[in-house]
Amino acid sequence: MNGAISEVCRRCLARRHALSVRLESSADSSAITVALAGNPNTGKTTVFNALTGLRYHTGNWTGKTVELAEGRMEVEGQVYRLVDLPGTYSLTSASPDETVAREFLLFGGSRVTVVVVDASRLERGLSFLLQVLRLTPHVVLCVNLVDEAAAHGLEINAHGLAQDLGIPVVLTAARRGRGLDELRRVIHEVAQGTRTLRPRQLLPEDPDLRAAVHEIARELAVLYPRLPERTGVALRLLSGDADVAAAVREGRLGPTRTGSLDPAAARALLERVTRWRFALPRDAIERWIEQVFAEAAELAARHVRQTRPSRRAQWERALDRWLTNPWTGYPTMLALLAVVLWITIEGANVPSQWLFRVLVQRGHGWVVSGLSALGLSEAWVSLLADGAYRTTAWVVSVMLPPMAIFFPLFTLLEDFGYLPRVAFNLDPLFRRVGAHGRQALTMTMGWGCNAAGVVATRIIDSPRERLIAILTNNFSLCNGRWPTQFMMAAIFLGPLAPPGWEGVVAAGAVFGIALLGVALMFATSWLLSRTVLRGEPSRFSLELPPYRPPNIWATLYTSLIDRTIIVLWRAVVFACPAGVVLWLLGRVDLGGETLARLMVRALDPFGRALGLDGVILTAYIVAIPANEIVLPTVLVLLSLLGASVPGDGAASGLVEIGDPSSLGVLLRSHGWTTLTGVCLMLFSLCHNPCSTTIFTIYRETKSAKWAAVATLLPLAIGVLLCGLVAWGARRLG
Amino acid sequence: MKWLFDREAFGRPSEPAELAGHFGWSSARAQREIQQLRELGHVEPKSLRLTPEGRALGERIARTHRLVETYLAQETDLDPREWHRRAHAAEHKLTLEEADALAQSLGEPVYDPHGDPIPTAEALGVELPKCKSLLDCPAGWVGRIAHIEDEPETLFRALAGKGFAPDMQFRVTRAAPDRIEIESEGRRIELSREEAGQIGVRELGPHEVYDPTIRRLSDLPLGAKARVVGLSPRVRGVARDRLLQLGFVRNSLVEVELENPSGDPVAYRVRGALIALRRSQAADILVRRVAEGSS
Repeated sequence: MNGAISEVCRRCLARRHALSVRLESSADSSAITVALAGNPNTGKTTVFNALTGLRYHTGNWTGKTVELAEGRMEVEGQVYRLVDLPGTYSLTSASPDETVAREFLLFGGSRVTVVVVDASRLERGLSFLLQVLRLTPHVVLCVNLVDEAAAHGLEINAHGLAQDLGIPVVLTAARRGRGLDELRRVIHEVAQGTRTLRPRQLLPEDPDLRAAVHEIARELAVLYPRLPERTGVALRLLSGDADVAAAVREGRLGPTRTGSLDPAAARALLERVTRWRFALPRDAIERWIEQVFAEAAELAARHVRQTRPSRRAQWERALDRWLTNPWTGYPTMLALLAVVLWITIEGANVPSQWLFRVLVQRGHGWVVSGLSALGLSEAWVSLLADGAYRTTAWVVSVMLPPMAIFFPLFTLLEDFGYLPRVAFNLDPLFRRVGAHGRQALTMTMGWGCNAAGVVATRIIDSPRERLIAILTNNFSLCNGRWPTQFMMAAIFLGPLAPPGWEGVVAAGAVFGIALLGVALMFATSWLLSRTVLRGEPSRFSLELPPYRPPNIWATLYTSLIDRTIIVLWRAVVFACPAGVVLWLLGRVDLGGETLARLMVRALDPFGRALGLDGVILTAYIVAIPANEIVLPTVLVLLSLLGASVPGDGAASGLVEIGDPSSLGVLLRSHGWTTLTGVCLMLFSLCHNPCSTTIFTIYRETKSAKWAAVATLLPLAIGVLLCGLVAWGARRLG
Repeated sequence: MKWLFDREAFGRPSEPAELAGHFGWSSARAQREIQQLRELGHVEPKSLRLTPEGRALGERIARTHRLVETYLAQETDLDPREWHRRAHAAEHKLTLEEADALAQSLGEPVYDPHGDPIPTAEALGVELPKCKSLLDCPAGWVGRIAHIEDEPETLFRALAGKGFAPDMQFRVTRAAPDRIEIESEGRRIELSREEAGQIGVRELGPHEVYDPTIRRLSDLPLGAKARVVGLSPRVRGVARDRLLQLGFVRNSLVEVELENPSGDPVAYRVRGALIALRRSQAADILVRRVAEGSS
């Protein structure tokens, strides 16, 4: 889910009623539905991707996939509709994820359910499997990540396990493509009914609970004769599950005997349930949960063998101790961030320059001649070539290389499993400012893309803390803003360094800005939790998943392609129109002056007060849709105002935009100083979120009020901050 | 009405002076209130015992109050000290139908956060367990907390702050005229007489034995291993479910594996996974230490 906005939009929100409606009106009625369920962090989504051929990214921390993804699989001519359910620890708790998963398993009409478990943590996976078996009998167990288990010295006896469970068991290593063919085949066999299942049905040991379950199940059979797993539903009712009770009452559990539900009978059933709940010992249900765990442990012990001691486990533990140690934990976090930034800055240099040469300088010429050859008028050629194309080309050449480097690096860290350790380390800080520890995760997601960071806040249950995370996410510098930071740091702050150290100083400056963003996030969270979003801290639980060596080349490759596509798409969607707007600003005359000049002049006084100028502010207004086009917009504006700018056919043409020193010369000639550079960096950190993010915030909070706050709050802070810095700098001379 | 109802169930007959003292009324005002209740037919003419109608009314109010508290405990993150006050404010505002709807949406809860059974809409007549006051317990007595009186509020908040919850196993270590000291879950708690008077206790069941080795998971040092005995009744609803599903069920082996640089949260290895919890949550998990080196 790495900032892939297009993917975020492709998946629809899984609201309960929308879900049932959608399932009923499935267009492809011959397709058989197959559900994929499992604990978080089992590689379930990797299995899903592999079976359906899609390329959704998966990161290694719990609770990220919170929407239902659908995909298509074909086996021997039969089309299957695969649905990837959210990863959940159980099917009993009332978190939205778990409700969605359970509801789908009960009401979603899937013919087969594939439960994916982690081979190294079979015990945990089996207790989940036993819960699923209570709800549906047509289950295939997919034991994934066997390659990891092997690295830990573990061996799984799939055959023995299948015999004990009464369902098929398939061993897979989905990341490496192993076992998938067999999985496909088994799913097909179970769906077609050519494989008989005799699933192990666990019943409560407690005689009272067992009697209760039997009685309620019997009554359910009368009401809903075709309901397959009555004992599972009975257990849910006896646990006090309000959702299932509502379904019983409203006749939603399936076809009834007479075709319509008898409300009196349903009510009588529920009253019976209540009577039982009072009569049963208080901890009856907990004893049952305990029983399930004990059974799972026993099954795992019987069919998993540790063939040799695991040095990997010791190594992982040592790494964990290092990362959470008071002396080494925090410095390591900071060092990692700094290194990632430095690699991005240094690495993006050459590709940016190359792209600039090809796309902007030469490409512009091609476009102009091409369009002219088509016979278009001068105005149209200029609009399309100078306005639309050139802006887009600039954006691509400036933005693509840094994004293409930063994201894959970030993805590697995510895949490895490092980020939950960051959340673990930072939780006390978040708690102190009234926020939730998981905000650490959404904050780091925001460094990739703010919209994705906002969506990721769904892992925070408490609405208050979630809102704090959403409103402060903007202080995470998103990918669209990193290049602006790098550029400004390289142009204005690098030269201040002793020779040979420019790169380090520039990276250090950007690092400082990123940390300032984190500090502002904490400060704003604190402010919000003391004023408009007051409340108590909620509970915090987080799984620290095992470290998984990432598939380095595969990840880099996929991430690179992903990023390139997204950058190009956004460039076309946002930069093109912006370029057209700018072109119009430069051409439309109002009382003898172009609109551009008017706007710049009007905004100049305000801009100077902030340490910026009119050009920058105008650029920001035009660039509201997307952050990454700010700097190119500035350059376009400068050219419209008459300054000679690289890529301009008439001008020197030898200046490289990728080369900071020449760009620096250009900007300084326009009156920019170090102060301007610094204030631009600050303003870029603090200004309003991009249009996509604002829209996402609105959609997630369903409140125009909070979307407005999310937009204006950072802007206000930005204005304040820049104003202070500018004022302070002028006072000091 | 609710106070009278609770006291009756508690097994302590009420005196007008106690009524006055509890609500902070003058004795004249107390008499006026009692007279009003008699006129309404809720209280017996000669004593403070409830009439059958009075009992029914008291039960309904108690039901609403406990439902609201259950709602607050399960669905919100409010501090336990807030529950009573808000439920108190709400208990008269909800109609019978609204209370029923609330019960339905909560899944017909059986016990409220204090451990008291919630009377059902049909008044199925659940019996409250027999209990006595902590004040009447001598040193060395062992038992379980049965009931924590929620009024007056200041005392309830003090008790909640000290970590009291229904079903806690404890032993009285010292019973002085002005203070009572008990030991529970590996900790010593001191109470004033006033506070102790708010607590109802009961004896251990026929098969129960007091276990002085029970500890809170949050009290264990780094590297310790323990077996889960159960979850404290302090934790309820979604939070309880989540802890159970994460694997903190009875008999699970837990190891304290990692500590945050500042000491909180702590990561525990349980049933094959590494789960981080804040200390305040780990305090709700009751364990018994096992020797290092055992599996």
